[in-house]
Amino acid sequence: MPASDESRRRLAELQGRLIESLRPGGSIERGPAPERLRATAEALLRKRRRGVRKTWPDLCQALGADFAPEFDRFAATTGPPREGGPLADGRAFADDLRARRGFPAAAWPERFAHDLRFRAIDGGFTPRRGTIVRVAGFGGPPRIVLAIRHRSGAESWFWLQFDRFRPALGWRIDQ
Amino acid sequence: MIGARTPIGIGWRPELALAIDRYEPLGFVEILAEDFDPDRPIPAPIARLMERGVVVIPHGIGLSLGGAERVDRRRLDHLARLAERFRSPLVSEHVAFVRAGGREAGHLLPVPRTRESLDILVENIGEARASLPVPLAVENIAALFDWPDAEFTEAEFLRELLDRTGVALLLDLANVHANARNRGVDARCVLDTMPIDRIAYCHVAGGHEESGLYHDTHAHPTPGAVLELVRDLAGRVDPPGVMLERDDSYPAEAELHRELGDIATALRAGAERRATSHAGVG
Repeated sequence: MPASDESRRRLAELQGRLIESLRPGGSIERGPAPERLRATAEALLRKRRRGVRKTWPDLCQALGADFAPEFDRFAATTGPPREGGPLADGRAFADDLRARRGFPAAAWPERFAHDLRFRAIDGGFTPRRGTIVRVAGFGGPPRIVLAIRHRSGAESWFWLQFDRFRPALGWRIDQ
Repeated sequence: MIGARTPIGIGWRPELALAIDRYEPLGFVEILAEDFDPDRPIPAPIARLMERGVVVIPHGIGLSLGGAERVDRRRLDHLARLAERFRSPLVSEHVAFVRAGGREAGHLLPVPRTRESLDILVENIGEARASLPVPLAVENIAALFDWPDAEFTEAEFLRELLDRTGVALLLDLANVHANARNRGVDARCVLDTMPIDRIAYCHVAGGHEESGLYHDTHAHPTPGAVLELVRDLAGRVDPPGVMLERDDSYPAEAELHRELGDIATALRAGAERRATSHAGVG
């Protein structure tokens, strides 16, 4: 029997309420067993945390013990992205962190690299195409970085770093 | 349906690329569709596998076939183009939904096992099939909860779905095991009722128990109970392929190869039992 628009609407409402109930702090309503929904919600949160740890290692290392509570606070109000998976989820978390409490200096190069490789779209991030050039300044120690992402996906990075006022030039060129 | 030279496969992950390349009796690999761009060159490790005859199967997680929305044409086109790019004999997805009401779930969630949901799922799968250049297989998922007021058992739901759509089954034996444990039933009895005559290929994976619930983590070795299901299944039918899913806590090469060998051993043991059983008939 063909599905009607009305049946799709009913299913959409049911599934939407379920997804809402699975976010951190979401209310568990009558339906599937509450303790099982709670276990599912916890598993989903752990999965998101693991995904961001893998894709944003420098950020997680810079946050240390603060990562889990900070991410959980973010996840309570922001669901997973529609596009881009854990990498996009981590970027959204990074932007949220920057807006709320500032971004850890040690993780700025990682964020800069993400900017070089991905552009924001509605619902997440998508890989950039073509040649991309970016320049940025970082602290701790002070650096100016010029990065070029070539059409092939290879990258060339050049930086001028100031260590106790002595400049040092460095580069990394993908083959 | 797979057409692989051996029935042993694995989910391809960059972290396991070298170990996978070095596993000689490999028949097929599954790639996560959302991680690949059909407009980019095929990654060198996968091109190497294809050169030696390893079959590549794109496996999607984002179509949300069990959702209320119509299938996203862009995601469908992506899957179709991957199948063409990798010369795949089929593609696979899930009997699940991943988004609703403009929100992403972040994981595969179970579909209510009602006639109304089934009609929607059948329609969505029909639309997907019409746009794909190769056959589609759909996978049974693991879930910690069931929707109330189910009108079908999981096996009945799958059977009716396959009958109405004509798609094949990607039978995830780890998920059969997980769901049986969490429902407090015997997985082997569940396997008895599954539509095992419609299998395209199978998944196995590891998991662990926490607070009384079994979690299908894909981050632990395949438990003996799941290998027993492989043996049981092979004792009844000849599965075209059985592959290992490992997504985290990647093991060393020797351990990975051993686990793949255990799958092969379970398949052989099942095949011997099947041969003995047939020899005893008539």
